[in-house]
Amino acid sequence: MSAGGGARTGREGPERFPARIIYTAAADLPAVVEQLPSAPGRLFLGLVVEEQEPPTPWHLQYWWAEPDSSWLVVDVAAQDPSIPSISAVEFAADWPEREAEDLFGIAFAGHPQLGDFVLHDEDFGESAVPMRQVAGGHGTTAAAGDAYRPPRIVEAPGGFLMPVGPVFSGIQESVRFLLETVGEEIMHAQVRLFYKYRGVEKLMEGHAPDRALLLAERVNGTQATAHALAFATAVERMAGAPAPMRAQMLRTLLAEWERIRSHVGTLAGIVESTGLSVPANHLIAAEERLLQQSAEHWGHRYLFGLVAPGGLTGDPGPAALGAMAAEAERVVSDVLRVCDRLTFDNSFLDRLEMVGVVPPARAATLGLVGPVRRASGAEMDFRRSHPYAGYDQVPPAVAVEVEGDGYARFRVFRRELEASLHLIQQLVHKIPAGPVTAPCSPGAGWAAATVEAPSGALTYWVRLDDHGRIRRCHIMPPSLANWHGLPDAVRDYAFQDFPIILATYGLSVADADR
Amino acid sequence: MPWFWEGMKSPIRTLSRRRPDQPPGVTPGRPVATALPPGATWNPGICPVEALQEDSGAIAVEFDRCVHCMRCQQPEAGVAWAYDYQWARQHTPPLPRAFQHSIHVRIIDAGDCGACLSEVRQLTGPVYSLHRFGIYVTPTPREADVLLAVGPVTAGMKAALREAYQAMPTPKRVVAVGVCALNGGIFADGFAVEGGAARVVPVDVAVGGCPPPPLAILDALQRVIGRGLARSGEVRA
Amino acid sequence: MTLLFGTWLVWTLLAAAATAAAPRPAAARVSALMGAAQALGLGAVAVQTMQHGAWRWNLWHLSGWGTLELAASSTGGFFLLVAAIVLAAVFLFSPGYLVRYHGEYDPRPLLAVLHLLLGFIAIILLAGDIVTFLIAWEVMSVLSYFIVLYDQHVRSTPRAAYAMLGASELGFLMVVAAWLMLAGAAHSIDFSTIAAASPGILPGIRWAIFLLSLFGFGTKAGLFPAMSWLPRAHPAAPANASAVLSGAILNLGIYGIVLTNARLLPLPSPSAGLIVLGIGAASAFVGILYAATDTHIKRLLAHSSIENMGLITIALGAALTFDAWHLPVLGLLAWIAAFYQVLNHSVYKTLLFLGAGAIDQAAGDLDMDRLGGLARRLGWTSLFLLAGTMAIAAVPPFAGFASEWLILQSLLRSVAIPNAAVQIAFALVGVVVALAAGLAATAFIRFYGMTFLGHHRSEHAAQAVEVAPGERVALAFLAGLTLLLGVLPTYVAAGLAHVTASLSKSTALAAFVPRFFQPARLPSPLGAAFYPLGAGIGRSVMPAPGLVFMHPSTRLGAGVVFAMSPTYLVLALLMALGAAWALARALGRGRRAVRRRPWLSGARSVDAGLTYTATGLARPIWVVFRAVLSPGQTVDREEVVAEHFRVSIVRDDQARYVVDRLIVDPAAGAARGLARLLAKMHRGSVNAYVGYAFLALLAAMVLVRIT
Ligand code: SF4
Ligand code: SF4
Repeated sequence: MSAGGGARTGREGPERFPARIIYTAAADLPAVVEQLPSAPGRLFLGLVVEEQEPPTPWHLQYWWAEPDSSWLVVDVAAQDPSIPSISAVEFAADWPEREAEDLFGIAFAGHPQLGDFVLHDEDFGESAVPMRQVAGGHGTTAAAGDAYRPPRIVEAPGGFLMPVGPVFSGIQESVRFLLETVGEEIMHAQVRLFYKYRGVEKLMEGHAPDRALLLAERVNGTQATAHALAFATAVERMAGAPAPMRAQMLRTLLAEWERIRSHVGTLAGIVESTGLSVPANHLIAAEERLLQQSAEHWGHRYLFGLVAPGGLTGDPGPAALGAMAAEAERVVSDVLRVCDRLTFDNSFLDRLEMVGVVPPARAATLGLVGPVRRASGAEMDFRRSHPYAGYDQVPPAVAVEVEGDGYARFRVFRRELEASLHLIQQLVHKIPAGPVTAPCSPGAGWAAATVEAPSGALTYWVRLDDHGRIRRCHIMPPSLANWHGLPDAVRDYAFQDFPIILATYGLSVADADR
Repeated sequence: MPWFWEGMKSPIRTLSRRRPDQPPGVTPGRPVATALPPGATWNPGICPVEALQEDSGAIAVEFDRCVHCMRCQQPEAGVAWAYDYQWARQHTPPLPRAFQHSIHVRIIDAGDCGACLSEVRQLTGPVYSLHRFGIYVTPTPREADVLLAVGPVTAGMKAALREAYQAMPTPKRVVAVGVCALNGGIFADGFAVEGGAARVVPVDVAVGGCPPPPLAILDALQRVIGRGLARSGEVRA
Repeated sequence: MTLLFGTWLVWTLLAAAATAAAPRPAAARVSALMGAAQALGLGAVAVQTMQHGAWRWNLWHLSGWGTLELAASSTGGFFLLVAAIVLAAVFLFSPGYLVRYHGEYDPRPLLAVLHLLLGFIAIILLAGDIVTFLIAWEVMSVLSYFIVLYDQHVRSTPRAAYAMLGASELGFLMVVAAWLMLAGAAHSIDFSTIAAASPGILPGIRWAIFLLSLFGFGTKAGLFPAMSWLPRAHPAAPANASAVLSGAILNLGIYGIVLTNARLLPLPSPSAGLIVLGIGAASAFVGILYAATDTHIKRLLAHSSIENMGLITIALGAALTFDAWHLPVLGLLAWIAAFYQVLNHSVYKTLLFLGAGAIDQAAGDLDMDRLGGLARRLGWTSLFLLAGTMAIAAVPPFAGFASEWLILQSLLRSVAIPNAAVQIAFALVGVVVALAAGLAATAFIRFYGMTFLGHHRSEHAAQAVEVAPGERVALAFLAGLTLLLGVLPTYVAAGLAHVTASLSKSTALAAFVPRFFQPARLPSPLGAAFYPLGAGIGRSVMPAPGLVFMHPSTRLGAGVVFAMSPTYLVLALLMALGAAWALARALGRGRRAVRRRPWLSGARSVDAGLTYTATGLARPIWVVFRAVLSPGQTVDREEVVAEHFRVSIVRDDQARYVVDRLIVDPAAGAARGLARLLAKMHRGSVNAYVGYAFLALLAAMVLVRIT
């Protein structure tokens, strides 16, 4: 990799992994990004930062997914940690840049809101750069910094900041909302994440992939399969050894099964936020049914310990698959019945329709992903655009709605249940016989994989060292992108709409915090 | 109103607490101590977190470390699994008798991965119906008798956990749910991780597992009021 | 009596002179001492007048013209007593309070003017003829202009004071016109002669007099539609001036309405009472709506004064209507309600305005969005103002509850009027009163909570210091009165029945307040209903009237229509509290309370910017009544950097007062058009208008003399 002046492009990356890489000097970065040929449907995935040996220790990769099954990477190698910000051109890079600034100490020139993001000021001094590996050393001591003062942008008579959390409501993940208001309607919302920052990426460093896999599964335990799949796929791509066909198809089935469970949970959250407890409890019971089935057929209620680099750790056999398909049909049709009754319930519709509207253009600017993005009119689904596992064999139907409001998101979640059930039913008949695991021994290098997790595009970027151990792993979770877009959706809506809009986003804090 | 009838019409989904044979899948099971056949060799490296040890001709399980990676569940691993859910261990006496019929629980997410919290949420759902035991989830620690902590206690949540405990009236108990809350679990070595609730607040009842299923959490909460669930569950080799 | 009053007038002049002449540091104390005596003396005059009724004092006989005289009435005596109470508290409060103006303004002129003001208020209330009344009125207006103008270095003060003077003069001109018509028609300036002659006046002229005087006096009382001067004048005036303005001077407008319509001239028609009722309802509604949403304490109190004047006017309207329909007993109920409300309002509003002064002095701010947590710093003040807050929010057992309850009851009794339209009008006004009571409760809970409780919202609020002992004594005096007026309403009602005897056609208070001693004399359903309610308890120890308000139904055997006794309520409350306390002690033996840091939802700290503001708390009301308060008058300006990052949102609320928006501005527009025609005459200065008012008065007098 060179740090050449000016941009030059090349097609690099491991086999089965079409990525167009543009190398550029730091100074030219904004210009390069600005001049990228515009492609509707291009999605900013994230920013990978690595610290390498001098003389050019700073190595940054900006990742986009192209609508045509390939990836676009802008690669920057720099001598000192001062890189121009691209967030004015690509707003979705806002939070990735803040994260890199906090963890590596890179000053993104031109970014208006750096500081306190991943590492909270109360817990870590401003000088902490825990992710640096070469200079600056490992880890950090938790040296407390200053008390955090939330930035305020609203100047209105009687304006104030309404704090919510990090511990709030009954059973909620820890996150803090800072809602600026003069009462009733939200004039400006800020989300303060990373109360749950566990440093997963750092924890992975130095471990073999099969150990790091445990961490990947536990980034977001409710979508463990998606995380394990993205991680395993990246490692397999590096090894150039795809998993056997049966394993690929079973992975697909597992991923869809997980999608169904996750969506049922999200729908339950939406219904619960509108205060309709009977249908909400219906859906919670359906979710429990799926959890029990997971444990019965695969051993673990959240499907931990199944997907591994090289394939799967177990094979439940044809009888179990048939039973799962039948059960999926039973549960999904039950859930759909509840959902369809809800669409005739005025008190439900009143609270979802025309709240939390994100128009398609705004959703594109924000770089939203997954069902939330599809509810704002984009046909964006990595199972179709960048097929992985067995999705090229069973392309899913993509549910798209255009209104971009809470009800559109509800309908997308609902329709995706149907589509996933359909996929499972197809898969049961298409899964070939054969082994479910193959040797996978990757060498040094890097690779990435994007999967369509239940909540959207999830990308793992992995670099292994010469011993086959993880040198750097960067996770670009879907929830981070969608959390970034949440303030836009709640703006100008009343307080009582806030929990509902939040529920329709189907967000996970653990996913974003890592 | 239509939802009321809908609710009346739908079948009872709640698991009976008297039934000894709960449906399969309410628990993932857990490894239990297993005698080794004489002269057999056994590879302790199978467990990524050193929860399994060979100890005088038997495999000893330190379940407090187990992260449910499921690797020793494979038949070839030679470890027996029990499909029970009475996983809770109690370190201190239960709450006084006055609390027998009603306790309020404040749940603190101290950095969990989402699965533990999801199991707690299931507990309040119709299948496990926590409320029938007089156990209620409360939004404020001011009126909580029990603090239920999940997650490895991150730097960001350490102070919140401590504050919540201090805000509770006495007598109070802390239940640590999941291996993360016990000792940090898979995240124990993280620079931003405290490594278990016990580092911040005194833990009275601990339930391991990754995640512990709802019935195991229920068992823990029942122990807080001096009850505990009936022993059951088969052991499969 | 004339001797007593004469001495008092001399003392008043002495007090003013001594205050003006005293060395500056001592002036305030001199004024307080002499003022206290002055108020006490006036109180004595008032009580004497109320008890023994009319006395006369001929001042100056103008041959062929009439006699300028003082002719006391018990009604006037009542208003005198109210003014004496208000001014007593104000004089006690002022020395400590005016310290905050040290170095900027001399306290002496203000205090001297206050002494004189009380003198002229007394003359207005005792005046026995039109001319004495109007002259004293005009002097009073000018003097009150000066007290509002005191803090003149603040830019908005002179304009606010001008607005007040302008409104006052406008009202004065209308009153002059009305009364000159009256005098012309009755061929006398003497009140009693007019009263005797007035029933013979032509209906058309009576209507004109009624309307002109109603709007004229309404302007002084801050009634719809001429009330926008009030919320402007109060924030500008010093707190003691505000207290006098709201506690004593607004009442003069009410007195004027009572005098004109109940003594001088019968209503031109029974339906005229509905106009009074309607004006009251409009004032109450607009007043409370703004009180519930404004965040400046003194403006809030000013809006609340408008509301209270509205409530009083509603009761007056009801009283006049009942009397016109020949329902004297109900009329009495409404008269008592009106006068009770006057008394209560003056006491608690004086308390609150002086309290606002204390807050301003202690924290240097009156905007609730920047206050908060003052209870920790101002223990006594917050306690006294709690009484005032409960009273104005009509929470039993404080003043305010009984009177508002009586107003509502008298409106509900309109079923006795055999006219569907009137009944509907009363019912609608009843809805307004109920709404106003509800909004008043939210408004004042908000006032107290945002000012005294919670977290401070600014540094100066955190640094507030308790006010001087003298000020606290004044507040304590008024706080005690609010409790007394609330706990013993039947005693107050007995006194008021006596006062209103000359106005009302009935004195049969026993119809509402059954006496302990004669239960046997009551109609049997009433007697039967009243024993189980406990009205007989303690009749051997309790003197004079009973402690329960009740009203027997006009239909036979239908029992009691309403019954209410804050006295018993407070007894029950005390017993319940005592029992709870004893129980808590018994159960909690051996346990002690532990103080912990507040639970902050897991956050490390909260600061001033993270607490709910008064604006925020009022927002739901604002949203509901957006159409009245601010239709489309907020503008958000946004600043975005780096294409996407919003870095500031500035909200501009240019809401204009609804009365200004809908009535004053269009009227002013029309008037300006008219003024262009008469441009030569008008210089647009209020001083000129004052001159015109005098000229008009003189001209009219000459006219009357000639005809
Ligand atoms: S399931 Fe638990 S005990 Fe078994 S190998 Fe995994 S971590 Fe070790
Ligand atoms: S114990 Fe396991 S399931 Fe629970 S939070 Fe930790 S990693 Fe997640």
